[in-house]
Amino acid sequence: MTKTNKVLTSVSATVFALGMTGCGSGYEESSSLPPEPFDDRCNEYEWDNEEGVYQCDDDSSSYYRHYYHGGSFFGNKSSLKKDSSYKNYRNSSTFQSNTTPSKGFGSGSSYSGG
Amino acid sequence: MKEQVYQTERQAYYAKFPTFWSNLYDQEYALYSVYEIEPEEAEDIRNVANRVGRIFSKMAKLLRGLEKETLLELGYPIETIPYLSCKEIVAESIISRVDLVKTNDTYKVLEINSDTPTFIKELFQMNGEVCKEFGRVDPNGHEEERLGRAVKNAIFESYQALEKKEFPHIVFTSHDENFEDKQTVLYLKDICRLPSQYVPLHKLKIIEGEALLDEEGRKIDVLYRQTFPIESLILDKDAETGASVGLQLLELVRLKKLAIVNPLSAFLLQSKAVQAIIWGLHEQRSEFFTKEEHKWIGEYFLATYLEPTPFLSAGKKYVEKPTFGREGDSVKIYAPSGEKVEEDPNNSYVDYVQVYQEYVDLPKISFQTEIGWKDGHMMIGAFLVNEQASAFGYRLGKQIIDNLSYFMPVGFKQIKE
Repeated sequence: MTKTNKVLTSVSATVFALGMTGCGSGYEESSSLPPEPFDDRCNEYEWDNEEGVYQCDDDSSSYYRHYYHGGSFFGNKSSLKKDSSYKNYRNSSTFQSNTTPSKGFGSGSSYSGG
Repeated sequence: MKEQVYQTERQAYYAKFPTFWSNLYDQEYALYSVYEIEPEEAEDIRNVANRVGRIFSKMAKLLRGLEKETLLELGYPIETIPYLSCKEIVAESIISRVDLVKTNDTYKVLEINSDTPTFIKELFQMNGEVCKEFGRVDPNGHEEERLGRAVKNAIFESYQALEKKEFPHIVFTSHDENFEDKQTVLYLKDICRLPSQYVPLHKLKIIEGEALLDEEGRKIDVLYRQTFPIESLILDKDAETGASVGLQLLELVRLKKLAIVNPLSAFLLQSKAVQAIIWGLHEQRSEFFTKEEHKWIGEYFLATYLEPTPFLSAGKKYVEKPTFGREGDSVKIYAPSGEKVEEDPNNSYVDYVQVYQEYVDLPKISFQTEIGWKDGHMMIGAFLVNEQASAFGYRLGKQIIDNLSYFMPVGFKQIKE
């Protein structure tokens, strides 16, 4: 069987089963960031790279826009920064690695549009 | 026009457009003349582009349902497979370009560049300028305005999928050192008339699983990457840590933390192997295509396979092309005996799956350049904006049209009053 025929056999099978897939999954590489909090006082969290912690992004929660660290919510930056556990974290290498973004776009190839 | 006069007038004219690349690779690129056609020809080209576009668009829906093994056979890089089924917005591609050849009685499709086509500023802006200079009517008049609206709408439609509330932070990007790429992207940024920023590729940063950042660390919502191909992006790495930043970016798109334009679906149609499926289903008289679509495929598409055997058996001349090649790079022409008769000197894409396509002669034309009259082959680049036919124009060069080919502006024969 030629390569073309092999591919066409599979394509023809799909023709009869259209519309069965959703947007992909299977990219398994884990994130380098700490896992998102499981604290259900807020249902949506967003990473704040400057402070190196998650922030509540759930506008139905009373903790909306609060910072989350060590199981507690902090209403603003200054209260977060006064927390002793956060002070330790801030001076650690973990903080450094959590908040240093990667770069290197455009490095893989100089090929451009055509 | 005498050579010396042509040279002086051409250079004086294009000097008025400092953000346009009238010369490329230290050679003349934009010709200082207009190729004249009748309005009927423009209508024919747009008809063909619309029909061909419909076939490709229909294929995208089918491709999204294919199994991993089949997608690999079709040449898609393994790293892209998890993302090929993503469909963020209605149109498969916002800006794509169909390359057509005029034959004795119809037009044939050489390929579609649906992911990162260039030749945009030439046809949407400069063509009109050159027509004005020569007092001709621009067949692409009004298309610039349509393009600007399409880019703007695509940005907002992509952003809506992220379900965010604030006005998006929109960033246009390209390789900084490539003048043509950068100016193409800045042109699109300009005509879409949205508050946005240009950030070159090397200044973008990423926080894995969270956000793409501009050089000041601000989160980007929509990234417009008109000239940055997905197959290049997946190779990008942080030189210090080895982090696969390109794949991390695709993951952000999948997680709906970033929108990119052209969308990922545009990359799906970029593989030239798609034409082998179209042709194969056509030969099988598959019910996937309607009677009318089969007629269009028979008329406009070239026989294409994943091996050269059918051409060798039938004693027909054929072309070998890499699935993700651009600008004629790595294209080879073979005689019916299987002997190579012409090839592009670049061989950047040899590692990709190859497709084999029926050979078609590009029509010849004589044209004036700064170094005298030349004979060259002619190819039509016809844009689809939101899958609808738009601006078109001509490239002149060798039988394998490459990035050293000329841009020939096009105008209607009647003199503009």
